[in-house]
This record gives sequence, C-alpha cells and structure tokens, in this order.
Amino acid sequence: MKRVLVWCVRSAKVERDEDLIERINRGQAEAFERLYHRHRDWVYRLAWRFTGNQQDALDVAQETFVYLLKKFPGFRLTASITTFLYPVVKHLSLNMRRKRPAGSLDEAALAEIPAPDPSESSRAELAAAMASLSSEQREVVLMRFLDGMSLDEIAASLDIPLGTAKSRLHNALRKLRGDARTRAYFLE
Amino acid sequence: MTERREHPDDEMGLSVSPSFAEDLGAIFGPQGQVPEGIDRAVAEAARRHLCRQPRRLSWVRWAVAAATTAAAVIVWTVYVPAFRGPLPRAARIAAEMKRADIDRNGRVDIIDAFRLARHIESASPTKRKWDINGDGLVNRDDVDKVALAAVRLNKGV
Repeated sequence: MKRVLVWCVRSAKVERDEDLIERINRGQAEAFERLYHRHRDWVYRLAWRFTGNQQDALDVAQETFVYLLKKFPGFRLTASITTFLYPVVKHLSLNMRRKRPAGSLDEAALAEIPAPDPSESSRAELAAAMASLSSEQREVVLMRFLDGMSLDEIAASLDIPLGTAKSRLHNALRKLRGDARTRAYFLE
Repeated sequence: MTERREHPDDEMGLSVSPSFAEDLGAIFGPQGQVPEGIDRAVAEAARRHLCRQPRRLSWVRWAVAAATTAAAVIVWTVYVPAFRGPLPRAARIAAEMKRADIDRNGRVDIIDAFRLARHIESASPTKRKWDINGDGLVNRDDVDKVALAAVRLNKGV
C-alpha cells in the first residue's frame, strides 16, 4: 500500500522545464509535447495580445514552437522558458503584423479587443485606463499581473536593465492608481 | 472587483487587488482555445525533427571516423617512412662514404684518413659529420674507420 502511494506521488510529481528540455535533447518527442502543452496557452495568449486576432495568434503560437523545436538538440536553458519565449513570440507577432496593412500596432490590437459587457463597468473602465498607458507601460503591467512574471524575468525578456523594468512598472501603477477609473483596484 | 484580498507587489510598494489580474485576463485574454489541429501539427513536427537527430548524429560520426582514418593514412604514408628504422643497405653505404670523404674529392681513400688524423692531432675544431662511427666523439677510432673504408672493396665503413 505504501509502495503504491509512493509510486502515485512520484508519478504525480511535475517534471521541471529543465528536465523536459534535457529529455528533448536526448530525442524524446513526448517530452517536447509536454513542454508544448504546458506553455501553449500562455504563448497563444501572448500572441493574441500582440497580434490582436485569433488567426494570427494561432500562426504565431505554432511558429514559436517550431522555432523552439529547431533549437534541439543542444538547447540549453539559461533562464526560465517564458523569458526565452517572450521575445520570440513578440518578434514573430510584430513580423506578422508588419505584413498586414499599416496602422499602430498597439492601437490596432487594442481596437480588436472585444468591448467589455456594459454590465461589467469596472472592466470597461480598466480597459480604458490601460489604453491610456504607453505601450511600454502597458506591456510591463500585463507581464507582471497577467503573465505572473517576476521583475527579473520582465527585464530579461525585454532585454532592459532591471531598474528600467522597475521604474516602468512603478510609473504605470502610479498612473493607474491616480486614475479614478482604476483606483479601486489598489489597496491602501 | 468584489474581492479585496491583498495582492502586494512588494518591490513597487503598491498593492493591488487580485481582481486586477482577473479583469486584465478578461480584457486581454484571447478568444477561443488552440485547436487540436495545431496540437497535432506541433506534435508531428516534434516527432519528425527529433527522430531525425540520431540518423544525423550517426552520419556525423561516420564522417568523423572516415576523416580520421584518411588523416592517419596520409600521416603514415608521408611522414612515417622517414622514421622507419635503418635505411636500405645501399643508401646507408652511400651516406657513410659521403661522410668518410673528408677532402670531398668524390672518393674515400687513405688521404681522407690522413687528413682526419691531422685535424684531430692539430686540436683544431672538428666537425660533427666526422664522427664516422657515431659514438659522439671525433677521435682515432673514426680515423681507423675511414682507413678501413678506404681499403674495402665495397667502400662501406
């Protein structure tokens, strides 16, 4: 009984990204599928944020994993996988948008975000307040609160100094706190 | 925005409600899910790419082995003969005769032995090539060798 329990605990143990990458380097396609399923939704969400439409986001998500796949064998992870993938998704998304008719990237992407339900007025107000931030500020807010990335990861993903990432986020949050539409989100 | 549990962003000194992230997700989240077709395409690409690796590695291994063998053959045929022990007898005799020809007149005779003896006795600087018997010294033994070579029929030392 105890052995079965130990086996169950071991089986249920989540394999780290680093371990999966090690197995992929040894040619195990199943490990790559695991890694894909673990990060697929985040990559898709991110691509959708940058491209603003579903079809492009799906294309970017697929291309991102094909790009990652080509790094094997011999791929070494020096930071988190999200830190590695973030600039890839961003780059592919920007390329995708460049092929589309001209227009401001962020404004176009924001325009395609579905209007919140009028009954959810707080979300509508949050969307409006977010639109008032600069694209750089909006990006770090989303990375921090939506993607759950640490400041170190944000700095590494954007290839900016940690201090810049901090001040960007700090300024964005200060602006949102000073905005009557979003003040309620901030705790005293 | 009904819940107001603490969700601090320590480094910023600004704390936001958990509903902030929730509402951002609702606004900026994508519509729909990733279709199964893309899952299958990625899985198939992974199988194709990763299954190809062992073949490629084995090809590289074969190429390295072939290149190493070729290099070894070249080294063996070009450089090794120079270190392959004693020269053939004819070549060895010719080399010895050349060294024993002290006056460089093209033949080894008793005059060469005489000249070598005179060099040694005069204590003038001797040449390493006059070490005819190869013992590291230029002395009377070398004179004897030259003299012997001069009277030999096959002119070997």
